[in-house]
Amino acid sequence: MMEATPPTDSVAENIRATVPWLKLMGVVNVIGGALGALTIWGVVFAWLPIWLGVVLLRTAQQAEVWVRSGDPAGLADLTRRLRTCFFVASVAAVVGLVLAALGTVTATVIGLGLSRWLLRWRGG
Amino acid sequence: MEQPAAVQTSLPASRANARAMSGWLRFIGIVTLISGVLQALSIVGIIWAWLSIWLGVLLNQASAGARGYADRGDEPPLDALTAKLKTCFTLIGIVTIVAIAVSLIAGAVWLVIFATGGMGLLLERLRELGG
Repeated sequence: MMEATPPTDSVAENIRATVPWLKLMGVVNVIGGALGALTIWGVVFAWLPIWLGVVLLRTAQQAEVWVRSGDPAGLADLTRRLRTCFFVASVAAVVGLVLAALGTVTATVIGLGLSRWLLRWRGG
Repeated sequence: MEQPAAVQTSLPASRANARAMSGWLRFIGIVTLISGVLQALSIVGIIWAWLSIWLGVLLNQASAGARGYADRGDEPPLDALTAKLKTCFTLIGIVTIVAIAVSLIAGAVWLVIFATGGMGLLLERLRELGG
């Protein structure tokens, strides 16, 4: 059994203050993902904000438990959930970057094709 | 206000999680920072680019805190990590609330424009301008 140290007010206070924002972001992401799933293209990527939202809500729940108990295993569980949060956020960032790159290439190709068509139309 | 009964912060599992977390935090931090710099290069984006840059810096500082905690297992880096994460989530939360409010206001404005037949007037005016 690990020896417990005196309460660390600063760390616990930081975590306590983060909980409402974690909950807010969790709810917003779940609702955003659910709304995205209603669209045709959105359904392809809707799982990502829903997953992130669920992970954020679970992190908030674990943070509340740890702030109440101060249990060392609770802190390990909290850091594990935070790690998952940032992993999912990183996946979302990668997906966003890929989509942005694809969008840029598509827009460039369409733009070039359109300008060529306009030039031909004006000339012809 | 409830306080934790006792806090043991140097559990090996927590430190291993913090080490794994630091990499993801750094990645998101760098992506956010670069996106902020790119936004700042545009004329309109400069208004909110500082938010992305600030968030990117905070995430990188949180990553440094996570790495410090993973290496040493003592409390100051854990305190720094949680403080930076608190600021990050607060910032993201406030930006989200503002974005939702702006979207709702914009939606309401469009609804009023459609309901009062303003769209027809707008199109008519545009047609007049176009000759």
